[in-house]
Amino acid sequence: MPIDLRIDYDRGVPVYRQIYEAVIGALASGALARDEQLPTIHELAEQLAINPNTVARAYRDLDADGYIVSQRGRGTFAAPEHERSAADKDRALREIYHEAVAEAARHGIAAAEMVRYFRKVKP
Amino acid sequence: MTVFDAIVELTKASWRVLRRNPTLMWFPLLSLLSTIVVLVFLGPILLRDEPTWLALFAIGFAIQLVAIFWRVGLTSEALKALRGERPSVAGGVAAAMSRPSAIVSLSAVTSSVGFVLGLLGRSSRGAVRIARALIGTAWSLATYLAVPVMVQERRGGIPSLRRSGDLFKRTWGETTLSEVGLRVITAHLAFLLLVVAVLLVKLLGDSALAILLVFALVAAFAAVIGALEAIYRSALYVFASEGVVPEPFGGPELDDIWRVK
Repeated sequence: MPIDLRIDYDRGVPVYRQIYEAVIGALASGALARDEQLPTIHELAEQLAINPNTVARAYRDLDADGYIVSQRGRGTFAAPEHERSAADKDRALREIYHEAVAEAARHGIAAAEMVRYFRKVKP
Repeated sequence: MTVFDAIVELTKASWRVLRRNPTLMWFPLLSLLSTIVVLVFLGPILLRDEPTWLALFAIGFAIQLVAIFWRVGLTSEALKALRGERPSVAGGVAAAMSRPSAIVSLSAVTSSVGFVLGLLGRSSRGAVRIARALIGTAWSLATYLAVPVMVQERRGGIPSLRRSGDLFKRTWGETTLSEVGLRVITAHLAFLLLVVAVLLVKLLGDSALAILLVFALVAAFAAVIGALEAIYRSALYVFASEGVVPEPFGGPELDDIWRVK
């Protein structure tokens, strides 16, 4: 599986959430291609020596958020881009925005100043 | 759901795992037998007029070492059972054999703390005894998940204790419930065991058969309670660390018990 899935118990983040984030990270970086098949729940649980319910919870959340698609009898696949709803994208953007505002605040930068900068820079 | 209901439900869930995986009962039995062997070899030291503190500490350490060795094996296999894999005695022994330094360091710390608590318990001053009881309870709760941490996260003895303390902050309610629940159930079963043992001795007299039967009862009691406790402790670890309740500890009747903090 082309996902860097090493569990870091020191992070203080529940394991199911680490799997969730790793899959999203792999999708964002392109390490996991759209439509590519993910390992089964039991395969991944065995590989990471964790409880299958933990993987199942991560997959369920990923499925609900539109990152993966579970097909009965076929397996679990990375969702095609178009299947991500506008609401999901909106939610993701909101999270990114809040994280960026918090990070900027840590550097003494106001949110308005950050937004002005985003408007100025070209993607 | 009352605390008693919760204790009963958790015990029933642990029992379902144990029924599917009776192999787990071998570990507490082997632990009991190993402890007897240690006592046969080192026990005579206790019979001396005035055993030194060092000798007492050495015996405490040896007993802890044996107990933790088998607890590591049992926990490794209990975690497997919760994953739906088949546990085995050989697998548990291999898991314990692969962590010698972690087992020794955890035994050294727990036996040292136990030794100090024992000394405090000898004090005739009420305040010291209360302090001992409080420190002892806090210690047993904060270190409750040290062995599952050691097994699953492959940490050393002291890092496992530290991590157990961190996990306790997230699961203090469930951990306390488990500790209290297990003590309540153990006390009830121990009382039953005592009644049966007394009846056996009354019926059979002071014979070898009576002693053998009483020993068999004690061994069976230790096997069941030890395995149930390890199963629940492992389930609690999975919940605290992985953020998910393993089967068969989920379900509507148990949802109230588990709350992610």
